[in-house]
Amino acid sequence: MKIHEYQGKEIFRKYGVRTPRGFPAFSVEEALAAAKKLGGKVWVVKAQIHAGGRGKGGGVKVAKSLDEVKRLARSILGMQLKTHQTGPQGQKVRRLLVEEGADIKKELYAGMVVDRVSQRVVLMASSEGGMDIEEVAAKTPEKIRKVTVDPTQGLSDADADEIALGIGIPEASLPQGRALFKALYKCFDDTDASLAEINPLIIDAKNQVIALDAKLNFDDNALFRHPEIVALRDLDEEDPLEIEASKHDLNYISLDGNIACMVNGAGLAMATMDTIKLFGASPANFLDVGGGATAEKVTAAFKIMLSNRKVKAILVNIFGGIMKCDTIASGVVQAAREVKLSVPLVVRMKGTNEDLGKKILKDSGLPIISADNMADAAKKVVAAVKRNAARKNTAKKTTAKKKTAKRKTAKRKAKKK
Amino acid sequence: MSILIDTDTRVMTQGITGKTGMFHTQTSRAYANGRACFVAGVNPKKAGEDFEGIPIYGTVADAKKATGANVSVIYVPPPFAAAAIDEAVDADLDLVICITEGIPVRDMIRTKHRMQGKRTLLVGPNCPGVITPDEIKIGIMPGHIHKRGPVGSAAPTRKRRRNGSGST
Repeated sequence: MKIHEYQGKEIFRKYGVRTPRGFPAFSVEEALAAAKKLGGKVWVVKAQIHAGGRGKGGGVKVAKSLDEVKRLARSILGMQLKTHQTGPQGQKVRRLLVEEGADIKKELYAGMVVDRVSQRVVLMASSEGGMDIEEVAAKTPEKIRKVTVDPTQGLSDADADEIALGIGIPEASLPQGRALFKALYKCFDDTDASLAEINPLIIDAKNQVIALDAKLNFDDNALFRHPEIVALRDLDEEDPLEIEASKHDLNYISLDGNIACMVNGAGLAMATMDTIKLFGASPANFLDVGGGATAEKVTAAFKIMLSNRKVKAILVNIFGGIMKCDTIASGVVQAAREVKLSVPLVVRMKGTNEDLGKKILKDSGLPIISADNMADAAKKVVAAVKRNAARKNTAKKTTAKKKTAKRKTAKRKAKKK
Repeated sequence: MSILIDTDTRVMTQGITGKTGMFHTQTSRAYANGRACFVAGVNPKKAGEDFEGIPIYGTVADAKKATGANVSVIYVPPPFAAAAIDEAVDADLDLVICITEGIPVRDMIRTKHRMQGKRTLLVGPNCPGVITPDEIKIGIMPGHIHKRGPVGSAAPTRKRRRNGSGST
């Protein structure tokens, strides 16, 4: 689960990670009130969306007067903020964070994630703050310092100091740097975070170490013990289809291709998507219906897949182990009827009651394309999409031809007159 | 996977009285030599009771002592599953198969750390189980799709693992 920067900073403050003073604002008036409350001469108006890259997209601006705060708040609130993480349609800004300006002397980077290889939490930091950390990692990997944390001991003073010195935190700020890294680990561990990122972490003119940004993600599997974090969820930031899917206990993720797929089991779903790619097309989604799929669940899955307008065909790939193929087949038939299916549907099923399932599909009278194995299914669904596209093109050409013919006749008629 | 389990394996089920635990204990027991292999259940609140004739003990250590079980399968819900693994590791079992999906990462970091230097092998969590076709099945996979062969296979996702079992 993701949260906003201002929420992340509130959590940081509880653990003693130093942040600039600031207040969230949901309207221009609130933004102005926040700036007045903060006082000072410089403010930063920051768009609050879950995606990164907000500064580059124009969602973070510095104001030098209250009038400017007002003007910036008005222009940023409600804008479709486009960043490299939002996709081309952008994300609507509904919340702002108004902060006191900081006197930046140096920009650094600090991040914490679970490293799957060492099976521990790793603290990463770099002297190259304020920029894309993936780029730093690719171009100058030596500028990233890492240390893994012993889960029983926590982050030690020695490790914290080594990182702090390694990224150029000055001697005078070392105690603050050490305290910040230790607080960050405590926060990460206590809240079951899966990612904590501060970019930039700054040294200001007074040699203070301050988190100018806060990005926190949490382990969904641990949310049961953190109701205070669940309360921070912002549904406006999530894909409406994914929210709908989670209501039906479906594991759904939107992707950018045009072949929708419904599969039972995450591993098989990934293999199915790979196979679609192999035959030259792209999946429109990942969808795992899980082990106990019912007709209702399959219908919900079909509705969700089809509300994605890019979808040109559906591929159903089921392996019936404990789940029976005839149950799925009935579900597919019911769903196809209920949603008045208008795109090609390819079904591959294998396993328990396979023959019965195939018979149900065949007897339904629906134009379902049956496939024997995964490669066959992927080939057939890709071919169906191409055939439809070709047909549409010919249709367009024919209409165009007819139009030209009509125009010609009209011209001829006019000449005669 | 006959290097891990065979007809001589004796299994205890942690979480035997839950819905999933009961159902899959029944199907595993019905497969090949299952009736002889599944010898104990563990539930701290139901010690002294039984599930379809399988005696239930309060702790893993008690179950091991009473029945000689050397392998455990875990169906305990995610909030308590890491502690269940810890208990099995502390009892020095040979093999622990954890079916439970959705255990918090922080819990597993600690459990994996505790396991360093211990003799117990952990398969999972979030795995379908382990099977030696025609001998013994421990887990939630359907038995009939597996065929005997000379090569054991293990892979990191449920259905990719079932190559040769007809799923892919």
